[in-house]
Amino acid sequence: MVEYFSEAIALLFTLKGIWFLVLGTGIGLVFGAIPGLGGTTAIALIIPFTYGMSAEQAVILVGGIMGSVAFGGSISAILLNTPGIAPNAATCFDGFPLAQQGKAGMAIGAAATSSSLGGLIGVFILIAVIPIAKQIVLLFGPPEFFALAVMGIGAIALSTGGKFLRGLIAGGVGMTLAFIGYDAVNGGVRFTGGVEYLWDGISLVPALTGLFAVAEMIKLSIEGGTVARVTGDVKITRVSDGVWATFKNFPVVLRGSAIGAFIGAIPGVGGTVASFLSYASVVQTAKDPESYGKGNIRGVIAPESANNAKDGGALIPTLAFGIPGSAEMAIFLGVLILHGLQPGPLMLIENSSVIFSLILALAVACVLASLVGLATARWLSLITLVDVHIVAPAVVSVALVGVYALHSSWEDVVLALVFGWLGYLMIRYDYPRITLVIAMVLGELAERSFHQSIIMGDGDWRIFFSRNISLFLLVITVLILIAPAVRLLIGQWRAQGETSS
Amino acid sequence: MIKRLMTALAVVGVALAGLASAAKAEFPEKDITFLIPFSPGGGMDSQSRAIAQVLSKYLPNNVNVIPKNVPGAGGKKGYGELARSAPDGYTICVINYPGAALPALLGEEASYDINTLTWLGRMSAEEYLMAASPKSEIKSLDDLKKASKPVKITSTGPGSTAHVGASMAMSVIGFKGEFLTGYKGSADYILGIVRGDGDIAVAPVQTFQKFVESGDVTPIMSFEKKSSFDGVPTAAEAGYAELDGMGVERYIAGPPGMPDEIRKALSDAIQKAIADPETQEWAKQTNRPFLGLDADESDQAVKKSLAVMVKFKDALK
Repeated sequence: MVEYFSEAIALLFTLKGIWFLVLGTGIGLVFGAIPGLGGTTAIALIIPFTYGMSAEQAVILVGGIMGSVAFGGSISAILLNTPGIAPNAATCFDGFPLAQQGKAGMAIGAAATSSSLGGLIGVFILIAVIPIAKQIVLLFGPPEFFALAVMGIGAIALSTGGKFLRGLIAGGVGMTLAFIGYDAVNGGVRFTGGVEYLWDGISLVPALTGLFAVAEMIKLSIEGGTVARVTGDVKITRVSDGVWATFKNFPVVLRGSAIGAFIGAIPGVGGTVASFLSYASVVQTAKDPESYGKGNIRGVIAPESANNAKDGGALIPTLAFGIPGSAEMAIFLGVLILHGLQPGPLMLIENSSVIFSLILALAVACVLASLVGLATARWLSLITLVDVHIVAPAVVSVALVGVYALHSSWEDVVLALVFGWLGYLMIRYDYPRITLVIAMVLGELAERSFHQSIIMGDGDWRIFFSRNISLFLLVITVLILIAPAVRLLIGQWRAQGETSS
Repeated sequence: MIKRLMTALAVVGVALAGLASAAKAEFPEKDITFLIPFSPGGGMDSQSRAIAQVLSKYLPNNVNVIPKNVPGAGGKKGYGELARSAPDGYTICVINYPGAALPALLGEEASYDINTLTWLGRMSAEEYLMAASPKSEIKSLDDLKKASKPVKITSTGPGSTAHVGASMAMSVIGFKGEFLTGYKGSADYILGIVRGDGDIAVAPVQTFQKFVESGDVTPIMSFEKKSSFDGVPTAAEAGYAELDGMGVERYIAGPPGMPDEIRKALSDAIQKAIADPETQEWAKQTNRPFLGLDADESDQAVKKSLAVMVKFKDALK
């Protein structure tokens, strides 16, 4: 394997190689930060420009984009409560409150550091796992997807922050929204009211953009002021605090990256689920779950490690079977096809230089992107101090343009506005948006996997328990759900024990 | 006086005729949009882009042919956009057949009518293969026929072309099957049988190739005219003539009512683009051969196929 890497290094560290890497990183940062655009769009747009390049050069460019998009997106998530790409939505939950507390610099610092660490760990896991990649991918089928989705949805119960009933209601609404569209399992169209646009269901990026960015801007416009509530003592130069916090919470980084790589490795699940599950895991195992959603730095570290690690993970099925582990990987395979390469189980052997160039570019790009982010974090954080009369229109217009640019669809823009209104109502009446989003994202996966599993098990629901991995995951879910209650009981016993003696 | 009037009218008439023919000869004057009703990165997308790039060479005035992805609703969004566009030759679209014909065959409402589109040519035809999971008890066509419980067939959903193929196979061969759908794409449902979620799946031979070679799936029956795999019978050899040659075809079409000269111009350009050495080289390297038909041949092929498929309407529901 070392020869493959030295070949890739030689290809990368040429003038052209470095130029493409830097270009790709820049494109990725910008496309990631502008809500609605994202890595898939960026790669799709540069495809025509790659015709004249060699396959390795095209791949370095693509790797540069892939490695930096997630971090670019975290910047808008933190500063403007707008996820740059869907996986950044989990970063909004704690990132934006931090910005509101004047700690934007810290949040960006943490996001940058966890993104690069996460990306590197993801690549590392990829390399370690390549020999057994096939077996791992084959272990996860619909019953396991269902168990994972349930585990994530279980986080809803814990992240409601004391508003249990409202959290459940929001979660219920989210689930219902997840069911809109064509049901591929039974072949019928549900809840679309005859509107062809809704055939594919609620499009995630416009919905999230509306729910977070637009809603927040509406609220700001009504209340006036700036994003950062605390204008007096705002310490913009706390970027290094964020970096240190990440290293202090290295276990969170490890766990987030592992979850990210792992979920990224399962085709059909996706980066959004990865970052949500990572966020859920850190909430579920925290001693102070109520502090999440209010500016807990771990709530930024966990999802950001995950959404970078997922790229390394997504390469696992891509290399094992030629089956893309994510949308970006699908386009990446398209780029390969365009250059005359044939993706498949033998890709690693037949096209090693291309594959390793990608892995290397991915790894270097996420570090490069983070360095750029750290350097510019100070100035970026100043956005939180800009008066709402400038920020709100700017954010809303950029966000909506980005949403439109996704599919050149004005319906997406309307959807974003509708969700913006919904999001504002939820802020106003104090319903947690987190639970709605979690339910919406995981609901579809849960339902589809459930149906598929039942068909696989010939109508017998015990299939979830007869397979080792899904059983294991479900047991963990139950444990996590009862953990707070158990902790409470243990605390009470201990207290009783002390008073009686 | 009348003579002068007649001369004036004649001059005007000639001028207008001259202008009209000049206008006609001008096609194409601006860039042409090539709609691709699926997400970027897949086989349909790559093949369409490969053609789009070369097509401008063979069109007068060297206009560009710009691919535009319009994914959604299993292709219906893109087909709808095509149907709504003006039939002036500036909007063409790649058609996934017989997937695009499903709404008409099933009697559903759709924003386009497959029977009225202007066929400009065919790019490729990939025949199907039926293969089984290594974890399944089904190892051959005989096992399939003898199966006591319903066989699980993986697919993306009732709207897909492969699903159509599988449904027809079920009806013709006469085995009991149950669909395991909901997978996001052909790669995913093939992975589904590799993993053992389902027993069999139907997909183009090219898509299955790498999995057969690596031993991840067991080929059972090929819908090809001549089987690419040793020991695997073709549908015709096994006695199922109706399934012979079944597969997915990629046509290029324009909106209904396109004028004949424009149709011919595009048809010729497409066939030349397919025959272009650059395209052929790409096809060889990626193992996606072109099997071109021109506009008239395509028109006939589609009408013939639709006539056959209408008979299987009930099996498709």
